[in-house]
Amino acid sequence: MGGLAGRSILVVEDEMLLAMDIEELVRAAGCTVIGPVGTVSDAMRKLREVRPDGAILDVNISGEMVFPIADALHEAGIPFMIVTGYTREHVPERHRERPFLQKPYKAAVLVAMLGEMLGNAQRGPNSSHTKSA
Amino acid sequence: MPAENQFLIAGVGASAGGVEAFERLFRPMPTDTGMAFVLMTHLARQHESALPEIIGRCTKMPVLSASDGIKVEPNHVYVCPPGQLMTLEQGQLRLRPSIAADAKPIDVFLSSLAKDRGAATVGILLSGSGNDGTLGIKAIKEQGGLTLAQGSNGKGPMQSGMPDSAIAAGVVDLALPVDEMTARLADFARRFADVEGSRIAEDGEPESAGHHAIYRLLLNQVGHDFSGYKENTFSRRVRRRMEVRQIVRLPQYIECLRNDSEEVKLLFRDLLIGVTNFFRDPEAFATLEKDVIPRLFEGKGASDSVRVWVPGCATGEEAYSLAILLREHMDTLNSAPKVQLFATDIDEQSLAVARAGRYPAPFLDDITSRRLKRFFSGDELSLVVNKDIRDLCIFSTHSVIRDPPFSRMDLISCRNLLIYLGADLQERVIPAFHFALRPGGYLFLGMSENVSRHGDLFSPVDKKQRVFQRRDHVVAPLQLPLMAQHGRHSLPPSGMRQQHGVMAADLRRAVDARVAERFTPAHVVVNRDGDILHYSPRTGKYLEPAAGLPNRQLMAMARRGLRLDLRAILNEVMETRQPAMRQHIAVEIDDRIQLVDLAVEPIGDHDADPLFLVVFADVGSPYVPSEHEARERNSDNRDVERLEQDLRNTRERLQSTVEEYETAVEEMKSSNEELQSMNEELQSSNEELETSKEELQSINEELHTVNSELKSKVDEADRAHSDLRNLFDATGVATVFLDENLIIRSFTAPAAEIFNVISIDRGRPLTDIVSRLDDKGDLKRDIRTVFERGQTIERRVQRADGSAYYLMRVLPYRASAGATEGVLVTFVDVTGVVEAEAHLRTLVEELNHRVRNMLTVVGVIATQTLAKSASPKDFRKAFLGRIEAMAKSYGLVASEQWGDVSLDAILMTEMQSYSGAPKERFAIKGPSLPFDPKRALTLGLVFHELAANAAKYGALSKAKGRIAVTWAVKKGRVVVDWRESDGPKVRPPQRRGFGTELIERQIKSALDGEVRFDYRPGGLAVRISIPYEKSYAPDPGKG
Repeated sequence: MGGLAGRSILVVEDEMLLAMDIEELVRAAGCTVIGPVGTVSDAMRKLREVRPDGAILDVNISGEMVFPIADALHEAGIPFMIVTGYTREHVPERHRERPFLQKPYKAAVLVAMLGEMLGNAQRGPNSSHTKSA
Repeated sequence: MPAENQFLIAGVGASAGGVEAFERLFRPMPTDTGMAFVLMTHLARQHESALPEIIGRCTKMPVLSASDGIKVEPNHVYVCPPGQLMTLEQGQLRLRPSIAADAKPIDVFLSSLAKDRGAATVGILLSGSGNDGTLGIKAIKEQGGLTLAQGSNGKGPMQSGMPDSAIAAGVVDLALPVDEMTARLADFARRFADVEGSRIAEDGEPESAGHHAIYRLLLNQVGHDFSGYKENTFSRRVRRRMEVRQIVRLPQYIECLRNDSEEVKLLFRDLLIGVTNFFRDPEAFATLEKDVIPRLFEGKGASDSVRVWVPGCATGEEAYSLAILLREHMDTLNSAPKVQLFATDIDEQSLAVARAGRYPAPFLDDITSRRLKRFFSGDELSLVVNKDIRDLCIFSTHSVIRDPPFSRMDLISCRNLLIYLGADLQERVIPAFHFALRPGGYLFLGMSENVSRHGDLFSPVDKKQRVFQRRDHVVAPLQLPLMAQHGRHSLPPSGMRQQHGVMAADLRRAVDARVAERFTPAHVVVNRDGDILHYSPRTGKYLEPAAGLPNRQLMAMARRGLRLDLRAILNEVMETRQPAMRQHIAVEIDDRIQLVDLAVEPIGDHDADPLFLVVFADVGSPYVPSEHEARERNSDNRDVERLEQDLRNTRERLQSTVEEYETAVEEMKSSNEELQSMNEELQSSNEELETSKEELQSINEELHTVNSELKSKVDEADRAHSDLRNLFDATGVATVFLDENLIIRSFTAPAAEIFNVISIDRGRPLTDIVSRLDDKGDLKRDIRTVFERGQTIERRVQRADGSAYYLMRVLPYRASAGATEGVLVTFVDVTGVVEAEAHLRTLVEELNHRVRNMLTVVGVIATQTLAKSASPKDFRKAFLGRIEAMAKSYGLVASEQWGDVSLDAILMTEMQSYSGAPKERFAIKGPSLPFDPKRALTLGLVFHELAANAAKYGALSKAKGRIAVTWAVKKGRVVVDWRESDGPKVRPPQRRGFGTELIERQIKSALDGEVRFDYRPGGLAVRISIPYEKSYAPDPGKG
């Protein structure tokens, strides 16, 4: 978990309780939390303000799909993982290889995935993504 | 005769056009007439008959299809099933299948009805072609039943052949339109019941006294004495006529007879109807058989003929009876002469019946079984004469009054025709018979007839049996009809001749006249008849006007002494056409005798009107008679000789005249025979044509019936087709019908949406037509597969533009035999289904996703609550409370069908958990503000937390504690104030509880608002301020 310390993670989740939960987990893991933001426009704004080290995205954000954010992150080379109640089929093909975690999730799993994601990212943008557990 | 046994049975026969007539007959028929009705038609066996149902709709009387053995009941209707022959035997209907093609079922039934029931019958003939029923109606009338036939008014009958035939045969009592029949029948039935019932009660005396009056009337008018007639039959006939005339009481009817001679005639006709007409008066026929027939054949070989004429043959029974006798005799001969029996009548329809030769069994009751077997074929109901009888007979129309008679007949059998003719007609007909017979021919009359007035023409052979023989050597005053009027060119009266071939030039004439006047001897010119046409001067010496009316006959005017010679010489010259002379004839002139020379010669034309010149020349001078006597004695002998010569000449001339006359007569006879022979040939051809016509009529009837049925089948088919069409259009299912060559046969309108078909595309292959589907190649293959294998293929197809989905079914089109005749392609629009399926999938996924979310949320709440709870009990209370609050919020939103929920409702819902009577502890005030479900749920959670905190630490923890919640909208924001009071002393908390944090986060993130906690000593005051527009979150229900 060494790669996690001090990382900033953008959390995009509109369900407040879950956002709270993720925020706690991420903090507990040693990262800082950007957000949580509950709308796509808020997330965009944040991205313009700051560059996170990674992101955790829910798919359905107040009725909008999160994929424009995903695209922006992808463009920027920022790793992200998807945490959602939907199945993987709902993720567009271009993002289907990203780390994927279905709700409800075990806290440890989320943290481990986060660490792996950041670790891989550290190694370089061309390293392969691993699939979710 | 108990009344209940003898109720009336009406037999009703009809053919083409009968259904309509039956309906009109039965609709107004009362149901309590006491009559039974039995219906016969001409339907062949393979036809289903709906007649019982059709009639059942018209009347309340029970209508049954007759079955074998069924007992006939009053006030019931029975219908004979198609293709069956029906009879009545002892009150039961009997059925047998009909086999003969020319069977006459109506005749069969009515005859058996007449035989079984006698006078308690009614025979009714309705619309139909042909002549079935005529004999049956005759049988009913003979037995004393009432007979009706459908007469015409504007409304029918559709086919009048059957009723007309019976009417023409004179066997119908009442010819009425159908609409009038019902009332008459009901009346008749009523009267019948009364009469039959009271028959026993009726005193015999008055009736027979009335009969005597009627006998007298008949005797006076028609000259026949019926007092010896059978009482019962007479009474029945009288009653029938009374019924027809609708007269109830006998004295009234007698009065009617007195005043109406036509009625007397009709009664007379009725009385003459015999029971059966084959071998009527068997004794007479026995006489004929024994005494007459053999003599007809006497001396005749195979090249001769026996000719018989039966005038007034009507329906043919008499003719066939004679034919039987003739054939029986022929069978006994080695070589029989040719036999011809001419049977004639004026009524064409009766002849049609006769030609058919088919009679119902009761008509043949009086024929010996041996003869039946030999000369008839058929079954026990109806028989037809055999060919060897039929071929002897030629039937044709002929009127004994109007038409010239036949000739060279050996036998004329005319029975019961003459009595219908008046005396003056008989005067013409009997001499015609005399003419028609060969010398020694026989005449056979009916029992009530006689030729007593013509004793000069006929001599009796057996007076009792009415057999007479022609007297020869009489010339009957034969008045040949039609010939008397046409005058031949008669000889114009004599004496109107003008100059014939005598001419002279003018001068010559003047000179000749002078010479003639002065010098020529006296002369005259006479014609062939001896009339003088020209006198010369000075003929007075030789001619003297005769006493009496003036005439120009030479013989009358010639003086005595000249006459004899004049006559002789004239005759000689007329014959020989050569001049002749007589000399020294003594003529007495003024007491003197003058000798005269006579010269006669023909002049002028020889051929047309020969003229003769008679010249008188004196010889010497006159002398005294005494001198003459001597000469006279000499001349006496010469006179005698001359007289004798004259007589011989006269005889010769007479002889030659007679011979001429005989020759003329022979020639006339011979022409006549030729004409007769031609006539017979024509009659023979006519017979054949008649037979063909009958066959054609019969075929026509069948065709008519079949046509009606076809027409109604076509109508049914039209209706069914129309129904199908409407059904297709109603279903809106696009359907294309392909034949075995996969050519479009037809399609329904909606098919045009899938294929570019228009109506002229019928006849093109489906695959030619552009389709709007996205897989054409498969369709072609599928069609082939279905057509070849006969299975059904079903799959979903899509429009090329993706706008619709169809469930396509390709089915084999099976003919009734099960063979595949084509293919059927249908498209059912399932776009809605597909969309619904997609929608359903989306919903399911949504559901999955939300449930996952929800579980996650619950997990988080649990974790957080646990982290802040002091004990499991604490945890439980807090955790379950939250879960319950969430559930309630959801319940509230769901109850509004996920529409807006008002703020006070949200509040109330949460308060309820905390207090049994929320109004006691809560004061709520504010406008009714709707919130979308997402925000409503969030607010629900917030209020729950506030309330839970109040319950734990605040106003709700004490019984007196109160909470006041007020809110208002200001400048696009809702401001909610939560004020607790009368609770325990308030202190700011040491740490933020999960609830507080939850409240803050929710309000901030989910509601985009602000919250401030004010821990006042009197009670907690919380102010929540959130923006308020009525816009909804796009995805409601994410909780």
